[in-house]
Amino acid sequence: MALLEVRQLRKLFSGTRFSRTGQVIHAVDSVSFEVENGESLGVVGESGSGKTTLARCILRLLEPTSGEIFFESEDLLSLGGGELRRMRRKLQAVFQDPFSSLNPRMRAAQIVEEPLIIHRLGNPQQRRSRVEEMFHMVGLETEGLCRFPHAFSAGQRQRIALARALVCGPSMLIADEPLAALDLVSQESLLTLMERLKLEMKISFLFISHGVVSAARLCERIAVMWRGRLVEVAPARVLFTSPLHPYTRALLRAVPDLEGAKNLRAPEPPDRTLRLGELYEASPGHWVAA
Amino acid sequence: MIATGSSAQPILEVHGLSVNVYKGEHRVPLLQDVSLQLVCGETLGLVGRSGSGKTTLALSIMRLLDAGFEISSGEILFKGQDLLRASSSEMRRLWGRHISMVFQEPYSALNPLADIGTQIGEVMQEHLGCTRAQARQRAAELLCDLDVDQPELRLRQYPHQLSGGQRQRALIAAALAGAPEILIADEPTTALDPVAQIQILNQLRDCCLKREISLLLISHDIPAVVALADFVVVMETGSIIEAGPVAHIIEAPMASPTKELLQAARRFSKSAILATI
Repeated sequence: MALLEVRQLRKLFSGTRFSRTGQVIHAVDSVSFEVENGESLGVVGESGSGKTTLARCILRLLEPTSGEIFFESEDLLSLGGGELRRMRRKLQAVFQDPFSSLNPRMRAAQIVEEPLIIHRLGNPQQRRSRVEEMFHMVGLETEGLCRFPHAFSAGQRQRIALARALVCGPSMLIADEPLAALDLVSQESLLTLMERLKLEMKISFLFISHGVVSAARLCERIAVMWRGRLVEVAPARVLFTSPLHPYTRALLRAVPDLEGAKNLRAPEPPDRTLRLGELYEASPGHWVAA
Repeated sequence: MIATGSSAQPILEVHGLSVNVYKGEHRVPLLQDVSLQLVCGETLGLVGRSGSGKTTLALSIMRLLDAGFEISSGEILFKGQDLLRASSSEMRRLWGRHISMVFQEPYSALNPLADIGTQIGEVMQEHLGCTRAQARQRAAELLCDLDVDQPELRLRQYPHQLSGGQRQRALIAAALAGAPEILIADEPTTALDPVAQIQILNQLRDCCLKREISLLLISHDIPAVVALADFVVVMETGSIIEAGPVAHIIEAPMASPTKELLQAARRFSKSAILATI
């Protein structure tokens, strides 16, 4: 059984009472995929393609309209309060904005310790040494333990968020655009850290990003999302060498290359009215929308 | 050190600019002795890590620094006129018409209570003596130039109704509306997905070439700067540490922060990933 299995997940947003059109938005539409134990999956796509909605549904921060989600063989959508909390020890998250995802009134050490308290792990002394260990692991100085989030740079805050997510030893980490708020040098060092932690702690990542290169560095497989649907799922190398869907091709053409950067050519994204069919297996492990 | 591209006429010169901010009694230097030149019709790339002072420099040139900031020395010459001595009414005459800026976050830079047409048209009504109808007409043409679909509809929409890419284009259109001579673009594409990024960079370049606008492009995104700029200035902790023609900086960077930025950019490039996966 896969670590995470998502079947026919849909999330619709209907217009509010103020909207004139009464339009229904299919933010996530019939999305199915699996992530095996120890494997990482990158989800890439344009802004507004439903990547974040998908992550929030899996974390049960949003209730999906229909579909099924299994995590470690348990039906996530049927879990209630206490059971859900227990499950979250194994399924953790890092969010895009390191300024709003850390409580400004808590010290770094408290932020990282909090999950241990919630899950009743260890005594105060064990917790303190675990927090210090996590701080080392994410490459922060222990002098920072008693500082508040505002004293850290964006890259350092993202490391605190990572330490908080990993402190209970989860089997899966959902990272929603963790690099987006950082400059290139910080992006590079955070990604290198995540690559290392993935191997050391044997964590599966569900890595959501619009950077297809960073996804390929961290994940064995990549899923491309477009207009709420998966349009292509393939091993990272296959996706780069033989992309099939027109949107994937446009996305890959947009990946910057320093040497050829002068001849900037805008890739033509496919017509937005293109009808999207079901995924079929074009070659072993390489799925594409008809 | 004065960073200069060629012997051509500079349209904007910054000489020995130092800016501090006060935190209580504490004086924190943000810019130290910064000098650069923007040559008429060229694109100057300003790169550096977050916190290196790029935005502070842009806001100093625009005279938009908050009250807590202090410009302790230096001059900023626009066609020989020192902007640091310009009165607020002189700055009003320059903003939009001679020097424009595209701000980093399109969502907070646009007025949520005014439709897009009003926000783009305002500059033309203020500076070019257009009527409201003429201004809206030209705003639609600008959006069209920037490849926004259904420009007439967009003019009637409000910022929250647009996608990130459309908002960014609306902001660029508003900055270009007064036909300025200098455009300062502060991280114009960082919040966008790669396909939208490349489209907007293309349109920005085409618009600047077509209208003969001198562009100051601020970004930590090296490939974007390489694509557009003629000349690059690298900043680190409030000082300029390296400057030169783009090709030169890419091939033979001298300062270690520049090397670090280039190395990071290379590791996110297509050739790097194909070599490793």
